[in-house]
Amino acid sequence: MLIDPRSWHQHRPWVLASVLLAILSTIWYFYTSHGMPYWPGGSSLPGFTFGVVGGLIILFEMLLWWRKQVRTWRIGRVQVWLRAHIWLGLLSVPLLVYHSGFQLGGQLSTVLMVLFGIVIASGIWGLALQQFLPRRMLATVPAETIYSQIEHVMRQHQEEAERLVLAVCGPAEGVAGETADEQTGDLSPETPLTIGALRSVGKVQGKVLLTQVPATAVPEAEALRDFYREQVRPYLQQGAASGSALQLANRSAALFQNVQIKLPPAAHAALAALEGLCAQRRQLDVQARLHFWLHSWLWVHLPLSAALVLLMFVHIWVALKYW
Amino acid sequence: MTARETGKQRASRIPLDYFKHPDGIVRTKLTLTLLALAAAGLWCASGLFGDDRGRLRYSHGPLAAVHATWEADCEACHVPFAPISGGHWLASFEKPQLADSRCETCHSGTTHHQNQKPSEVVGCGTCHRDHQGRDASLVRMADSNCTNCHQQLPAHTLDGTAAFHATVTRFAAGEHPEFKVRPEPQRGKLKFNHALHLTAGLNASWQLKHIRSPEERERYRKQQAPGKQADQDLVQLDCASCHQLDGRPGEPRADGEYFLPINYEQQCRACHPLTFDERLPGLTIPHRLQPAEVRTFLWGAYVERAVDNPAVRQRLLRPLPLREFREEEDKARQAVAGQLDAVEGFLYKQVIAEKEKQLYSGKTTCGECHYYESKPGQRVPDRIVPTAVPNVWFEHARFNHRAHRAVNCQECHAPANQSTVATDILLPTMNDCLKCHAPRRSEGGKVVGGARFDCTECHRYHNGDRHQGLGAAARGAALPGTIEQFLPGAWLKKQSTAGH
Repeated sequence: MLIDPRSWHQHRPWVLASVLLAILSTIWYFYTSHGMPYWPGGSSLPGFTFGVVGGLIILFEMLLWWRKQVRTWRIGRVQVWLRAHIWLGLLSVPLLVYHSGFQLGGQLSTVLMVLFGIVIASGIWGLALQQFLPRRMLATVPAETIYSQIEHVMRQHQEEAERLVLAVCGPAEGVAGETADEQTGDLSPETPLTIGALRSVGKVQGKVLLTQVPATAVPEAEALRDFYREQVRPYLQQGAASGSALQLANRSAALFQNVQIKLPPAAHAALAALEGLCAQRRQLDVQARLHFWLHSWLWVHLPLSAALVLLMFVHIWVALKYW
Repeated sequence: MTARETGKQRASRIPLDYFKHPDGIVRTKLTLTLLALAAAGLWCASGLFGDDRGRLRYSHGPLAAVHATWEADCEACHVPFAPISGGHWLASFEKPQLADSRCETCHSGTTHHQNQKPSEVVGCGTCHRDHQGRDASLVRMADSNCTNCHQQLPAHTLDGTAAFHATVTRFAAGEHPEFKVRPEPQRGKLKFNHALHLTAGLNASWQLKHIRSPEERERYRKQQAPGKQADQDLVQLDCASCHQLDGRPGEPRADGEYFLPINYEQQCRACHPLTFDERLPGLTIPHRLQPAEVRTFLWGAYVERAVDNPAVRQRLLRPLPLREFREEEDKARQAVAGQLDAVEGFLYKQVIAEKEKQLYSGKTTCGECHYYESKPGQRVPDRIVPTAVPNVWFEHARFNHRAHRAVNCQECHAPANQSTVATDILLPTMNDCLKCHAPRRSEGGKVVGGARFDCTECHRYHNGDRHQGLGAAARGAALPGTIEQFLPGAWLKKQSTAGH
């Protein structure tokens, strides 16, 4: 969730309320502790109150997961929930520290406090990442797609590139084990050639051509096929994992320029289309990396939160039984 | 030049049910969540299989060393679902002091004061907080626990009066009353001149050689300063010559808090032997006898002296010849006894009367230190009043002399050098204590204070000081039992057998 001057007016009520509650809690706690040789703990009136409120906040924090998962559960906007999640979560820090009386206590309470600290820290880390990674993604990945569909989209692009190369270069001669028909695959004269996404308007599906496809194969364009098979196809399929030089924009430009010199002008458009697909692959690789950083902190935040809630219930039981 | 796809075109590549297939990051997140829940659950559950049934794992914190034996037995102190602390905000809960019964298994916790409002007596756990670690003190209370009542004492007593100072807020000038020593009837009856005894030679040119007992002479010689240990040197006493801590050097497990009562045989006899007749130089009147007993002793002393006469003894011991031994011996003894009575009455009545006069009116015997109960003009008092000097003078506070052994006695008992009568109170005032037992501060360019000055430094709530504390009607465990009963879990077994 972005916290910037434009969205500040939405966060301000939560911030003010949380700060005010934190200040009042602090005043109450330190007033109670005046004259005592130890900090009031969970059995004191403020400590007990902070424990109850802090526990309720923790439960509310977990409910955000349900709110986002159960899409039909439309109780308030998710954005409001998220703002509450952030600021109430931060408010719980002083409350639960006061509840503990600045002591870790026994094994269970120590584990609880450690888990709580890691959850809070990971949450703050995630919030910090959310302040600049999305904007960076917006700037550097104009071809952004849904993260889980990156490989699906790239498979489509790779198939389209295959068709384009076949259309420009024609079926390969003397390829071991492959007949001309096997190379063309479903690119029979009866199959319409589609380069680009299908576009649907109502029940009418159209075809969008990204580039001009020559009606017949371009002579002396074998360099294109070779370049495609050796460099472009592996990169489109595997991305950065292929170790290809195409993952670097400047080296990619140099490679494509080298190939362009070898090709007749009629094939240059197809080469440019392949270069565009490689550029898109680079963007999607960046997107994957940014998406990982933007979401991997949840590998820590969510599991430990779940463990925290479970242990919190154990702590409540024990604390009330022997308080 | 290829055309860029529009957003809608990119979106059309996405299958409509893509959200039903979470990506690797989401799957990993869910897997880790399940693993974390399982790990937490297993960790909690695994504790139940231990001997302590997980109690050490779920404990609020380590217990103080004195309670560590019961660390795995929560119900040795806790009553389930009843607060152990009787704080005011918990008063609405049922049985706020139910847990006190567990404490009283081992601790008596005597009443603080009989005039205290019962409704304001808090539970044990209110003041004595455990689970603060092995090194925590269970008896160091916050001052607020005391000043809750003592800052307005009449409001917290049954009859609205205060037998003690009505307002005490902390140990500071103006906020704590001046020290109150025992009232007059409890101060003992003694005649003593500190100034004289602290003067070299005791104001009478008293030398070491004047101490008759060789053993006691050597004992006092060792106390003299080097170079002044010859027989002709004047005896120089100091505080330690008479006042000894209740833990003597070399004695094991001595508290050393208070000084032992002055003992005549230890501290006085060397210079004040109760001799009464130069003809009986080795004979002294035993201490602590009342006048009737003194007279009996004197009679016995002189009779013995008379019986010691060989001629008399011979007549007592030799049987008459040619007669039945027992009958004749009895008759002879009766005859001699009758003679002795007459002799005693004739010879010793006068001398005993003279000795009594000497003892009770003289300057070196009983009257030197003791007061008498007698009628005017009476030669022999009816009773010698015991000195009964109290061992503890501040009956509502405790003091540890050994903790202060680095300080010269006269820093706190300053007027001793000038005191000539025992009625002088040679005890420190509050200002003497405030030099150290106050917040650290600068005075006249010097840093003073810094020692603890909280209430429990000197006072105790349960009044059980050293077995002679006031109100300590009951001390020690209510039910001292076997080791088996004392072990962890014994309480639970006892409760279960009692049907609780």
